Amino acid sequence: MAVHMTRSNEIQGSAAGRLLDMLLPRPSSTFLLRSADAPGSILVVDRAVPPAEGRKAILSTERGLRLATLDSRFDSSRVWGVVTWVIREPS
Amino acid sequence: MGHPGAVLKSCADLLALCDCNNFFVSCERLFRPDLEGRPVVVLSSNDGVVISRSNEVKALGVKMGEPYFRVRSFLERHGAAVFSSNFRLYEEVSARVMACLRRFVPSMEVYSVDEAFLEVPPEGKKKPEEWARDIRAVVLTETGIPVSVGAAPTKTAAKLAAERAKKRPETGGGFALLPGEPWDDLLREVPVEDVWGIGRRWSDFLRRRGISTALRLRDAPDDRLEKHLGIRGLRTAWELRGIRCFPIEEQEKPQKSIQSSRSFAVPVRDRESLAEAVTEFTLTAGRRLRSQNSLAGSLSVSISTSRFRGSFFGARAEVALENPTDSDITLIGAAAGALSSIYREGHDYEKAEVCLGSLSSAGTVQLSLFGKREDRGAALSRAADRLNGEAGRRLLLPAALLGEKEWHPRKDRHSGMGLEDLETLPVISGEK
Repeated sequence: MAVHMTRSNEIQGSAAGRLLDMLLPRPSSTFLLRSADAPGSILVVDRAVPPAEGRKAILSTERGLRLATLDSRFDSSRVWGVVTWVIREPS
Repeated sequence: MGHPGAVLKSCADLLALCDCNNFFVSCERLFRPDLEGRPVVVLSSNDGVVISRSNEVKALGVKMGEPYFRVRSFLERHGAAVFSSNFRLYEEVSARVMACLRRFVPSMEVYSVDEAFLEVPPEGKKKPEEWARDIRAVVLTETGIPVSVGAAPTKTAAKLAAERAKKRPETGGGFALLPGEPWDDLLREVPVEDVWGIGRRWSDFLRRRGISTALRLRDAPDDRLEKHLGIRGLRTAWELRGIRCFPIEEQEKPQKSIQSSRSFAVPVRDRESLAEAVTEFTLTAGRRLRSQNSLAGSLSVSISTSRFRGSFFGARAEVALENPTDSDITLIGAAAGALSSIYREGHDYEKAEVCLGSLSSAGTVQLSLFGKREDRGAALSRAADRLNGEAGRRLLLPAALLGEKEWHPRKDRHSGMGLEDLETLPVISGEK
């Protein structure tokens, strides 16, 4: 299954289109990632959202990208993107 | 001779080139911050030659197009990360960069996978360099791809400006080349072969006549330029004078011919394998044909052995198609016919190419699955394009192409990552 970031006219205004608009309001800055900890889930990450304390974010580290919750001392230059949605199966 | 530079007056009309830095390498680094500061290269399909280099690799002296086997151990010693090319990822990243740019300009021309010419909006013309740096910052934030932006009155000059922005860190990735003294100084420093559209073909000729820099090219007399380089060469010189000859072409121009070719991972001897490869290349070309809404009037197939091993054999056959078509079924049939007319047994084939020519517009023909035989083929091909596009990979393909093929390109170091196929999303580690 592929999620096209650019919307075609066909789905514009349809339920699928509106759902995509809600989950991915800014296609050019939004990335879908998977987390090794939760294999079935998908992280929706927006690089254009300003990072803030308490938000879940993806951090750039020397050992690769890491999922983290931002505390009060976070370094914004290390923030790769902010997690805006987590899509997962109900447990 | 009057100084042609005198024609430079205002910069009311500004355009800009946005050029992605080391694009394929930047794409591979997007989800790999651990590769920041490390040498990284991307290899051509089949892992043959180096096609993208990080700055660290450039500093080590590895050239573009260097055969990988020649630099392999050197790169290993320097701890380089080596990737097979992942063109699907590069195209997906490119689409994001272009979508991001589109929001900030009234019009633009996607010039290649990693370059776009932009019309500078009115607010950008007042302080073009600041505007260029702003664009760079937005693209980097949103897409994660570093770019260089060069603003100038003409495309040819914007190319030079972007190159300057890329080479000089003090520009902050944005540089404006405006009429006046700095313009001449920059042109004086640029070797003539580095001017857009000049290249090796003309530079040898020009250098023999003492035209060794962009400045000398600009100041060469028009009649000589036109006589020796033709109208394209003359226009290039004019563009260096600040006269716009090449406008921004918003509409993607349909290509005049479509080629699909590859070198094989291992030499191919038998007819059947070669036919499979040719079928595969025909499908690739057919998909591109339909995506630009064209029909092909002719098809040619070329096959060749290695130029470096044994005696060389190469052959080409062209088939004129009865009716212009975009049907895979017709194209594959024509390609098979062309191949059997040139195939000779006993050779180790290393490369095959399929080329669609005599292209015309498909217009707005209504396609029906129940129409003429030819229309059915075209409708089926389009249905396959849509399905495969939605799946993000090839779900529907001729049965002949199923299974592992020995001639498929080597991709030993493929990152296997994509942005849109849910099966290949980048995986990251959790909170611990």
